[in-house]
Amino acid sequence: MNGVARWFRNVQEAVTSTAKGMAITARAMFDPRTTIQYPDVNIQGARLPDGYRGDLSPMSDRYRGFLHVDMDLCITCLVCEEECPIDCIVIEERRCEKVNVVSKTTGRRTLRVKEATRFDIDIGKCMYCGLCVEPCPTGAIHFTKEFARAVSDLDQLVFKFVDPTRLDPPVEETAAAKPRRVSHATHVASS
Amino acid sequence: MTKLVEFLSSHLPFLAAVPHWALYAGVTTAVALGIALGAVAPLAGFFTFAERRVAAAMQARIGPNRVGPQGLLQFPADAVKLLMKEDIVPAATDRVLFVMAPYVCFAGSFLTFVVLPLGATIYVTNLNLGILYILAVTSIVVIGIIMSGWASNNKWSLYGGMRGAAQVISYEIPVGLSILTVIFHTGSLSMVDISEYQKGAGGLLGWFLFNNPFTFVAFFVYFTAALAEINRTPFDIPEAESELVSGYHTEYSGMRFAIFFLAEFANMFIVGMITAVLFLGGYNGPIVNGPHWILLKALFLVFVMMWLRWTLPRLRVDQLMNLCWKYLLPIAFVNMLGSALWAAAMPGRRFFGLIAP
Repeated sequence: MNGVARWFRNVQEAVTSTAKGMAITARAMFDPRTTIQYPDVNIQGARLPDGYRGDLSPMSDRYRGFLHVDMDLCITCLVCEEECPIDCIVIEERRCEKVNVVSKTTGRRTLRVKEATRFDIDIGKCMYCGLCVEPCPTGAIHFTKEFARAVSDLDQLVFKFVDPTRLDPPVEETAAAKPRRVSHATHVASS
Repeated sequence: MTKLVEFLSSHLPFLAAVPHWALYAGVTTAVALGIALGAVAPLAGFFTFAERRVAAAMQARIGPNRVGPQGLLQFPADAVKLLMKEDIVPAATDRVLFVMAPYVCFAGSFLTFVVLPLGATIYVTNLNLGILYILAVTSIVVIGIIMSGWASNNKWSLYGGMRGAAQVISYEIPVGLSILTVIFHTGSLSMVDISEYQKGAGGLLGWFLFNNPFTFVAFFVYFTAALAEINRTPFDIPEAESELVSGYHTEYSGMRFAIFFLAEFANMFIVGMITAVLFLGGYNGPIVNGPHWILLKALFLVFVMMWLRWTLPRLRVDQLMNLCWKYLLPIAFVNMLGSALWAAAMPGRRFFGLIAP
C-alpha cells in the first residue's frame, strides 16, 4: 500500500473509530448505575430498586465479615480460642448436662459436656484470618457478611455471645466430686 | 458603557474631579470583574461538577450527588475548601512567576469573553478584529503555562510547560487555517458580522457548518485543534497524570490551583462559544434568534468535549505532533484553498443553495 492510500485510510480509521467509541460511551450513559448508595439503602433488605438482589449478595460467599458464634452449636471445646493468633477470643467454661450437638458443617454428632459462661470476641482486634472458623468441629463460629460498625467506645467492639444474667444455674456436681478444672483460658481472660 | 460613565459622573459629585478616561477605565474594569466573578467563575465551577456527573454516567456510577440537590452545590463546597487551604509556595521556586502564572492563565482565557456576542446587540464590544483578538489573547494562556512550569522548579512541571507550549504553537496553525475558511466568506473578522452572515434558511442552513463541504470539514478540524489548544483530553499531555504527575500545576495547591482549574474549564466554554459563532450560526437558530441558542450550542459542545474525554485515550507526544502536522495541517490547507475558491467562484452561494436556491 502506498503512502497516500495509507494516509487516507488512517484518516478514515480515526474518524470511524472515534465515532464508534463515542457511540459506545453514549450508550453507556443510559446503562443502569451499579452504585448502591449504601447508608441510604438498606442493603440487608430483601429487595432493592435497580434490580439489586438484596441480602448483601454483592459480597462473595467467602466474605469475611464479623464473626458470629451460634451458642446452640458451641460445645466449648476452646479450639477457636487456642487457634486465635492474637487472642481476641476469650472463653470461660463450666460443666453442663451432656447434650448431643449435630455439626452444621459435617453433620457429625458431638457430645457437649461443657458450656461457656463467657464468650467474648474483641472484633476490634480481630484480623479476620479465619483460623478460628476452620477447626470449629460444629460450625458454631463463622463469618457473617456484616461489616459496618462505628462506635464511640472501644468496649462496644467486644462481641459478647453469652449473657451472664441469663445463664441457667450451674449443674450440681456428681458424687465423684471431681475438682472443677480451671480453664487455662481464665488467665487470658483476666489479663 | 459610555452612558453608564456619564450617569455616574453627573449623579455622583465627588466623581466630577476624576478625569473622564480614568473613570471610563475604572467602570469598565469593574464591570469586567463583575462578569468574571459573577458569570465565568460559577459557570466554570458548574462545568467541574458537570464533568464529574457525565463521567460517572458513562462509567455506570452516580457521581457527586450529596451536596445540595443532585450535588449541585458540590463546586461551591470545593471552592470553599480550596480557599481555606494553606497558601504554599515551595522553597526553591521563582516566587514572582509562580504566584503570577495562574492569573496570567486565567486572564488569557477570560479576556476572550469581551468579543463573544450573545445576541445581535448583546456583546461587550464589537471589535472589528474579533477573531484575531481571540487568537492573540488565548495564546497568552500558554505563557502562563510555561511560567508555571518554569517557576515551579520541578522537572515534571517544566516538561508539562514545554509540552504545552509545543502543543499550542503547533495547533494554532490548523485553528487559524480553519478560521480562514469562514473569514473568506464573511470578509470580516468581527464576531458579530460572522454571526450575522449565518442568518436565514430556517436558522439552520445558513450555518457555516452547512455552507459548503470545506467549511463542514473545517468545523471538525477546528474543533479537534481547539481541543488540543486548550489541553483537553485526549490531547492533555501537558498534564498527563501517568507521565508527569500533574504537569505544570504539580506544585500548585489551594486557590492558585483553583484558578488554573477555573481557567481550564472556562476555556472549554470559550471554545464552545467560538465554535458556535464560527460554524454553528452563533445566536441564530430556528424559531427565535437570541442568546439561548448560542448558550445551548456552547453547552452542547462542552458536553461533547466531556464525552470525548471519557471516550478516547490520551495521545502520545509523537502521535500528537503527527496528528497536527501530518493530518490536520494538510486537511486544513485543502479546506482553506477549497473554501477560498468557493468564495471566489460562487460568492454568497451556499451548498444547499445550489440544490434549491
